[in-house]
Amino acid sequence: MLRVFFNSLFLQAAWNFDRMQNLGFAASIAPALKKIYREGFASALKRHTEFFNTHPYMAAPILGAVVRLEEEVKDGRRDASTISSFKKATMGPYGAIGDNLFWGSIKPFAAMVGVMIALTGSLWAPIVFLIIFNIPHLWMRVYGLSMGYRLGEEVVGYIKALDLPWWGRRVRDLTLIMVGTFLALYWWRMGNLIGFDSANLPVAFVLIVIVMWIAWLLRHGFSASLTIYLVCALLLLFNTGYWLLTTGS
Amino acid sequence: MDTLLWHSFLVALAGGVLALDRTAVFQIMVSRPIVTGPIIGLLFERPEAGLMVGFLLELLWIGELPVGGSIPAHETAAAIIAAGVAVGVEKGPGGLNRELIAFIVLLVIPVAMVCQWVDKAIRDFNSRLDRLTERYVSRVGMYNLMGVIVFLLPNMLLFFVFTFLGIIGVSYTAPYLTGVVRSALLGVFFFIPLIGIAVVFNTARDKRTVRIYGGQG
Repeated sequence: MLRVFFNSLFLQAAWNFDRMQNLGFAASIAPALKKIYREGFASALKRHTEFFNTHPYMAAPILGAVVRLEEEVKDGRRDASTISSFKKATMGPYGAIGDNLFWGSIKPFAAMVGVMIALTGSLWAPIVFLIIFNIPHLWMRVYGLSMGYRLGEEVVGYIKALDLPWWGRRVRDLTLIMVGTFLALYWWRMGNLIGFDSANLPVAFVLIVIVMWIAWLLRHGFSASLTIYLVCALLLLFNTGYWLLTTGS
Repeated sequence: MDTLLWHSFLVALAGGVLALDRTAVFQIMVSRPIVTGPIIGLLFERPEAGLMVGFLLELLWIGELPVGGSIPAHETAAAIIAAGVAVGVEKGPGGLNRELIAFIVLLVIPVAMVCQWVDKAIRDFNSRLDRLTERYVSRVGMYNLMGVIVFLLPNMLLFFVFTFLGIIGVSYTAPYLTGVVRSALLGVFFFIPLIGIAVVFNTARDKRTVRIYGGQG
């Protein structure tokens, strides 16, 4: 299982548009299949070159369970076709859960903590970011694989009991709190850098209005990249107008 | 010129390895701008410059989600090249300031789009490895590892070329930036974090926003 775990870190090494993570999945499970099937290894491996795509971290419990199912197929307790059905049934929902939890919740939260530390100029920012993100990430990869192997098909119930979407919602609550804290900290830092009174609440309110305006733009089809060029163009126009006015008078 | 070539090569080498983490291997997030920026800076004993660039780019692309088959803009490439250029410019005679950092960020956004396109081409190429597996299934491990090389080499080449051109371009352009442009760039520098915050707000917000900030239990 150690080799399966190590290979699973390369799950997306040959990610392709045709069958996505299929090569990574087959390469990950190959050491276990070699051990299970002294004969018929190639045909067992061929089964796993079919289409596969899920969240890379959530592949761990599927991989563990599939190794267990392959052992059962070898022992004649199960038909080989059920393995493919199991993979097809789990990859979609686990992909959605993983995307929501890791990409949509934990990553923005860890990044927010990181950028808040970076705002103070501390080089601890990347280290703290990596620690916060990788504790749940590595837990899922190591523990998920181990529980998948231990429970086989039953791992589905185990993952369900973890209620990962609930954790995602809680982490997003924390992220929203971080947004407010970041704004306050940023306002204070700007005050120090530019030299204005950061305790001036009406001016601070302008900052919130600007953020809401950008959020509105982003919700109406503007990308972050496009917004930055728009802001740059507006600032250039404003500065040029101001320069013309001051030099003209 | 030799120093510049060597500088660009080091950025490409370190950046190429770091960028593998984005999709191909591990995914422990050392490919995020907030990590790659300081690492590239540290390589040239300027971690603070790298952190500044990484901080801005992290906020800019904080909401990008590589969901399913979608390929977002290559934020890692942007951070590696921007940090490499920022450190290169800082070492030069003119030095580095907030205006130039904003200028570099504005320049690397289109580069991230170019690298995104190359990323798509790499994944298209990987389909050939998939087809080879159809014929030689027992070599699946080798083909999977070949995917790492396929991700590594084009990225390294892009990082080298864009870092090299970026340092030359920014160093030669900087003295010609007028006061009006410089002050707009300073505004952009202070604006980028607000864009990032708006992105996070949109990502995390829903009815709970009212509950958290409106004090409704």
